[in-house]
Amino acid sequence: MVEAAVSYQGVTFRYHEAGAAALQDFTATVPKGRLTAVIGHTGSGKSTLMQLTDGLLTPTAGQLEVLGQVITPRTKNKALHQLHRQVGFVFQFPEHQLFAETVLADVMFGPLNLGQTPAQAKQAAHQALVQLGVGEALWQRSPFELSGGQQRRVAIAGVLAMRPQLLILDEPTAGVDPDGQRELLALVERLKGQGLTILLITHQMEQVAQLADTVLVLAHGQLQFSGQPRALFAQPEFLTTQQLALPAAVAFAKQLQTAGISQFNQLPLTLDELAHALARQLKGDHHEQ
Amino acid sequence: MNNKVLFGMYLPGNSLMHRLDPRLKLVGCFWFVILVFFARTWWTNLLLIGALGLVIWLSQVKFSKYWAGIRPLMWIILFTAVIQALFSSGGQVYWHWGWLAVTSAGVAQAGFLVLRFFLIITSSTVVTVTTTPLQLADALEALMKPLKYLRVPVSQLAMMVSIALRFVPTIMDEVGLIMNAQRARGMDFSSGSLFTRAKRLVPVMIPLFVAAFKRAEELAVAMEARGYDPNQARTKFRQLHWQRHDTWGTVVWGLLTVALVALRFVK
Ligand SMILES: Nc1ncnc2c1ncn2[C@@H]1O[C@H](COP(=O)(O)OP(=O)(O)OP(=O)(O)O)[C@@H](O)[C@H]1O
Ligand SMILES: [Mg+2]
Repeated sequence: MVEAAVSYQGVTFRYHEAGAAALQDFTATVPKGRLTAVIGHTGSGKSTLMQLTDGLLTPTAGQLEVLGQVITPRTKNKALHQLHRQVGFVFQFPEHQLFAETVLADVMFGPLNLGQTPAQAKQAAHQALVQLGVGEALWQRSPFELSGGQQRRVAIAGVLAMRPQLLILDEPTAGVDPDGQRELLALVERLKGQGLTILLITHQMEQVAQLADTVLVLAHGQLQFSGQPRALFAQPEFLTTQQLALPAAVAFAKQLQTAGISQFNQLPLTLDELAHALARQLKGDHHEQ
Repeated sequence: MNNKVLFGMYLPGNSLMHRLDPRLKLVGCFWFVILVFFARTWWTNLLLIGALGLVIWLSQVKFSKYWAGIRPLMWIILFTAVIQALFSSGGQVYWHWGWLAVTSAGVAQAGFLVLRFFLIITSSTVVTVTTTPLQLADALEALMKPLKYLRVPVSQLAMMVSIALRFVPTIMDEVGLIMNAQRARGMDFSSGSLFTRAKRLVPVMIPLFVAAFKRAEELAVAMEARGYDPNQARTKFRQLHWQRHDTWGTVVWGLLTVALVALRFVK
């Protein structure tokens, strides 16, 4: 059993005292050093859960433990300041937080808030910008002159430059072109390879299939499923009730199975896995085990 | 966000005050303010307090909620009153230090000042608490109609006001979002001197303005694309209808005026 980076213990959250609960009695754990995908229909409480995880909101009831810090309904904002510095939170449409005169200054903002010297901050910013593939030619430009995709990268670099222990990505690929999406996902994969704990909110099941070690499914603020992607995608009826789709590879493999063309012992999750499985079968190796 | 009545925030409800014609509420409030300056004796002020108590009771919103909205302004009012008490002369002298003196006339004036502020702020809060911003904009447009003959672009102004009001909550949400995003980047809004705190607003205000300008431009383009022509005569979806309780409201306010004038001159 892997150590937990985050554990939610009966967390309930309401935006308004009398209103409906955005999260209801939520209990789950996020393993350390793994990538956990958080999925669910729109309005199911994913972003709320992430803000609680970064200590930007405190629960109405229940408690959670993030990187060793316990957050209860009575935790004061001041006490959570340290947590903001350890958790990197890339918001939905993070380009809306850009403000500085130059790209470099904007990326340095986070490290400077951590108390680093300007030289250290600059170095951290350089590294993060290179990691995100933002060319040096753009570093002295105003962030508002960049294209949407470039702004997104600069904003993510601004979070990575803080070298967080836990990274939260709220739909990082929304509104990004396919090439940009592929590059961002490659970056996420690399960060995961470096042993960073990542929470990824996404609406794309392909990303879940490709990247996630664990999946949390939310609906109406409640946990519906927690486990491995393979176990999740093996239950298409459940996915339909959650208004979630199957990844393309899984859907295709299922259709091949129902048409009686091929049989899979283990459902392929990604297109690569599907191609390998099919190639093996076409070579005449029919009883793959 | 919280259940305090901030100065100018609408609270949904279905009381008589909520249903009253917004034009009447606006004019009535304006009239009330004039009466406040007209009332100079304790009796007339007592009458006004009674009238204010009546509309508060009719609005079915607890006085404690109004009070929560007035309280932050109370400090400014008290400060003004203290200045008033110290710097005006006349009547019996209670205390003096150099040319600062507290006199009976000064205290009385300060008392009236506090009362006047209280009456004006509370009565306008009653209007904003019981009237949606869009209704207020409609009422303003209706009341400004005569200005059309002076070539004032009344319906354009009204459109601007209602769009501005419409985006207040959106922008408030955005402030919260951007502040959270910057807090997540290690920014601490809650400590430091006044100057450093003011400086910290930069990372919030700049993205906010950028977003607001972008949105304004997008909205303008979208409105044009859908054929909005500012110079065209417009019809209204929300119509204002004068009803019997509006007539009664006018009568009550008329009686209030008569009573006030009588109290002032009959004495
Ligand atoms: N600032 C807020 N004030 C009041 N209610 C809110 C606020 N933010 C979210 N909610 C409500 O909380 C619920 C959960 O919202 P949340 O933003 O967490 O959903 P989400 O799963 O992130 O959705 P999406 O996929 O669209 O981003 C929704 O019903 C939403 O209306
Ligand atoms: Mg969300």
